[in-house]
Amino acid sequence: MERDDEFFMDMRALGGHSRVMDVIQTHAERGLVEMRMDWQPHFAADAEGTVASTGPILSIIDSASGSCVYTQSTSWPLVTLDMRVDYARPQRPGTTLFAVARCDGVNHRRARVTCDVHDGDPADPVARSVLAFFILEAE
Amino acid sequence: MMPARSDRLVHNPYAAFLGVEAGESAGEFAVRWDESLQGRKGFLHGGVIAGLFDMAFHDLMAAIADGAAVHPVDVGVDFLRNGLMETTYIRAHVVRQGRRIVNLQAMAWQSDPARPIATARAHFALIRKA
Repeated sequence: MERDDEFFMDMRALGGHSRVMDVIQTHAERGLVEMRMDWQPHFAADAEGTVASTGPILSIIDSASGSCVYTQSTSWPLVTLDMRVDYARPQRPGTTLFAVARCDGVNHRRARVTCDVHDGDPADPVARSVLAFFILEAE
Repeated sequence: MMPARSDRLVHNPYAAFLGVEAGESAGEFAVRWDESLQGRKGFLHGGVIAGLFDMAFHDLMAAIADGAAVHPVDVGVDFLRNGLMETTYIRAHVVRQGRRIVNLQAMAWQSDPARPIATARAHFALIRKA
């Protein structure tokens, strides 16, 4: 597991939603954060477990993208203005989700993040997204 | 006319995990505050809000699909206010139902419906076997 301690964020220590979704950072450097989220049976959208909910995809996108902005600026408070997600194909039930978030920097308190999500093969994504963040107050 | 509520959410493990309580119509529900929904300390996680919208859209689509397979195309969420440690209400509606594409919108609020915490829009494709 690659890790740059300067940018590493311990998602489990955050508690709350990140803890129950068991999302973890697997890589962090300036402008780039990777996360993984292992499958849990209640991520299914049906009782038989044959369909994966898309909710966990949105959850890992939000977590990875927010922490990616923090690799560029630790100014506070940071708010998500919007999230736009294009679905490519359904996640295969039982697979781990991987998110790769990129942020070029903070410009006039604004940050743009792109985040791609796949379930094992980065060349075959389940979703791609773009998010806009805003820093309310200068540090 | 609002379509009748489907029983889909009742058998949806992810809906149960988030604590979704179905409302009177499809695409309508409430979620009580729980620590498992927290993002930044004291506030709802943005991924939870987006996930609740997504669930409302799927719930509504299941009610109107009429046998067609439902494929999500895209979803966009605008975050308007911090989600507080309160019950959150979601309501989705169909803006345009075409034969192949459906456009939907939704709103989330907490104590005051006139002060939404977030809005969302989405497209779904309806795939019918020839």
